[in-house]
Amino acid sequence: MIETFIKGLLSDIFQLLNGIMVCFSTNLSWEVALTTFWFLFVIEFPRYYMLDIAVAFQQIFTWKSRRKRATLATRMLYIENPLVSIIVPGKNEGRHIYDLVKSLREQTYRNYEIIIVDDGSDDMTPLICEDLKRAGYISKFFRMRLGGGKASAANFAALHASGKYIIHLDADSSLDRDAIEKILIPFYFDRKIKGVGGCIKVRNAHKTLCSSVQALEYLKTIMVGRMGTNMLGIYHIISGAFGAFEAEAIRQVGCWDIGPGLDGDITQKLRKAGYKVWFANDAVCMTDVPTSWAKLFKQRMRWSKSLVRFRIRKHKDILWSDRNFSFLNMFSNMENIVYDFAFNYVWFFYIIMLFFMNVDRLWEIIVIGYLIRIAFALVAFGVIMLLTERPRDEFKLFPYVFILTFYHGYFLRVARLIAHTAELFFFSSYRDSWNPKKTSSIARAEGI
Amino acid sequence: MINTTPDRNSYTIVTNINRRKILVINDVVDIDHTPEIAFEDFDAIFINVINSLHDYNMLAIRLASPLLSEKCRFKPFFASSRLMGWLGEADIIIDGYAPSPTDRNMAQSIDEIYASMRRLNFLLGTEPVITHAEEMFRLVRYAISRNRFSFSSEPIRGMSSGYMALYNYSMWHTGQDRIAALEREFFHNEMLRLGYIRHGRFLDKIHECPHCGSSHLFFFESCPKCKSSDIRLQSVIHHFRCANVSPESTYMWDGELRCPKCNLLLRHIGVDYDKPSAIYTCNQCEELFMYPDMRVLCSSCKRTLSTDDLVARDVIEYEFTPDGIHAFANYDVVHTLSQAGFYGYTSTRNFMDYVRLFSESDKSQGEVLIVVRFYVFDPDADAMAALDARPPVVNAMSRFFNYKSALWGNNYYFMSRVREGDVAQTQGRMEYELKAQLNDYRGQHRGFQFELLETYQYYPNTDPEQFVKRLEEQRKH
Repeated sequence: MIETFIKGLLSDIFQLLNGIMVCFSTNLSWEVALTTFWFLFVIEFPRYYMLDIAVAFQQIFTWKSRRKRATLATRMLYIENPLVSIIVPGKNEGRHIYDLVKSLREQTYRNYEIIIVDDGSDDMTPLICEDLKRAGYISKFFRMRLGGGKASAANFAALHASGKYIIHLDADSSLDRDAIEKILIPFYFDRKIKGVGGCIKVRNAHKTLCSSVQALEYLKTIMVGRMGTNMLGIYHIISGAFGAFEAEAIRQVGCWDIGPGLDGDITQKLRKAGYKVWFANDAVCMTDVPTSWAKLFKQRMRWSKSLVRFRIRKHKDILWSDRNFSFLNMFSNMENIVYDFAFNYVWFFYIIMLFFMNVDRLWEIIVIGYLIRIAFALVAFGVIMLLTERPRDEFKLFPYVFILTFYHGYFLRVARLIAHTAELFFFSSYRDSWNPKKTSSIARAEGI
Repeated sequence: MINTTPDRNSYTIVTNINRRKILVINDVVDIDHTPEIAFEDFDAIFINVINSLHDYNMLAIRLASPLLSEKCRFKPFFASSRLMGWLGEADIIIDGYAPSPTDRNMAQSIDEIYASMRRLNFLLGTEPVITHAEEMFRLVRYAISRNRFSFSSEPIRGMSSGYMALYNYSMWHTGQDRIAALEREFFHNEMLRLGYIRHGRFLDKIHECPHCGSSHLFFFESCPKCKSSDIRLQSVIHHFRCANVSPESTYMWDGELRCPKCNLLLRHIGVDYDKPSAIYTCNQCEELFMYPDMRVLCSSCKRTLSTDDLVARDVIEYEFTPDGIHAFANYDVVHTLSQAGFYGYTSTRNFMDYVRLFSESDKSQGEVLIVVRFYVFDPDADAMAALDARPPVVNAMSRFFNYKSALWGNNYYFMSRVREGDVAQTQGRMEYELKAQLNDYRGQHRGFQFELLETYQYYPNTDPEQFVKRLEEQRKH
């Protein structure tokens, strides 16, 4: 009984290996591979992997000039020593606030005020915050009895900010010791830079498989990916979890509008107003990510919907008719729309085509496709290790490189596909419970 | 001005049905200084002064008070029914109201008071009131004579820690400073130690100014930034469409609500906008804040403090123990008790402590201590015989505010608190009065000698230890 089972298993494995061998020996010419996996080579590789390599080269070859620029900017920052308002809008975030203010007390940059706005919490948040305020951990605390959504809370906080710069933080995040200093430095590179995004990393990286994969994803798409878009001048999203703005500039553009996706929205508003934005890869903010796949799926749906809602609908004028029209702005939006929206549909049809055209050798396709993606992922991981400031910690994520391909290649694409379709035809983001109904219905009616 | 030679009509003595003699006061009479009236001449007092001036009536009551007057001490004290409700804080010492001095009910009440005093073996006594402690002593005895065996406490205007209505009445100055409150506490502790009183119920917790000990505080909300209380509360409006959230005043536009961010008109609450919160705006510094600071203004020293600065203090009810009742009624109180306290004649140590206490007290009040030093000498008696000179001197000094006196060897020190502007005048008066009193005493006691040696002035912003040292050193010369 057992013998036959083992024999069967061994023969299966042998057949699989044989199939791979055959595939390599007969089908694996460059032309065949290119025509079969054109999506990977023509669309994904240049954007997601070539660019990474380019970033690595750029970082290596310009480190001296970058260091010089950073030294100068640091000196200018400390000569001016401007007051910085750190605003933390949130609902039911009381339990995270202490960790956050603790990490803020450790900052190398000292001239800041902390403003916390409680957006209608129904738990112990107001008590915790009042206690912290009394203890002197928080400069200002405001409570809204009725929740009005994250944008309204952020706007209220911005109203009370007296600093020259406003740093927007999520309550469930914490900062590296030098993060505030590092995120302020780019403002002194160029007078036109009015918004700087921080680098978001995952705090609960080793909690579940789901969070570990996300940790790797954040390194790839946020750290390296945004360094790439920043290099090209098309950086288009200052993360809501950690972003710095010049107070005057964001007041000019009217601060935050209704979300979800208000961080991308305000970045676009700044770009449209003719300002520059910057990505500070060394200003590190750690945040908690969803630990279950269902929650993650929901989060990604919400994020993806904002692409349709803001980039395709609200800010479509950036593509041609904007008053401050600039090619870079158009390009930054276009890149986002094409890669994350249009090519996602292309991918969908590509997968279907691949399936039906190669029904007979599906195993080969899957295995070879997987191997190609692994190869790409290894390249990306190499770049991450080269660019990160904490390679020792992050090398522990190496095993997840082999799963990343499923996550990136399928899970996220499916989530995006569903979200985009739902938003495109059914405006589903306006029904998201993330915002209170009263504001969503107005936003829907006004088409914003 | 008190008429020291009263009219014949200003008082009469009548006899009631129980053969009690009642002194009827028709006008202001200084009973203690009227030789025609003796302690034995009457058993009770009836106040029949009806003047349109409230203070005039009060003066008449004060001069015949069973607490303050020597000849009237502890005697039943009645007032005309017409005065009922008009006497204010003096009501506490009135044993009853009656339409006429010969009223039947009043006669019964008088007998009841005497009966209860007899039950307690209450001695009317002849003890003089020299020190502040003795004044309190008299107060306690009065309370016991009226069967009030506990110190009930209630908030009272003018008292720093709202305590026992009788105390309040006994003070000539309605305002009361920290030192007097400390003395009272000292007296309580002494009584507690001797087992005359015990803790009763816990009554209240009050907060006092840390500088002057007053509990008469005004609480107000203020701006946390500039501490001004010129603040106003206004709603915060959340405009749904553009997520703008700001105070209502920023939306006001020609009588309408218009969003400052997107310029649209707000028409309908709940549809266009709502008011999720309210916020304070400071009219002085434009600061916006949600939680105003609580600030406190002390009504006596005029300082503004934060609530955290205040000193919390328990107000406890005290009750007399049977031992205490017995001791006070029989005038069998341990002698040290009458020496307790700072006020009046005190020990040298207390006298010096007073200087230290004064230096800690509020400097902005602009008060100065004047200390007069006499050398007293009586060759016929031992050195302590000079103590006999106390009563007349105390009598003279009681005209000065918050006086103290102490005998140190052959040196007699007198001290008074004076306003900075009145230093020269009061100093002259003090020296004159003291000399006059001691002169009188010398006239009666052959051989008694005295000499004014020096007058010191102590300003509260200087080091008290140095001043005490100076007193010590000069004593030796």
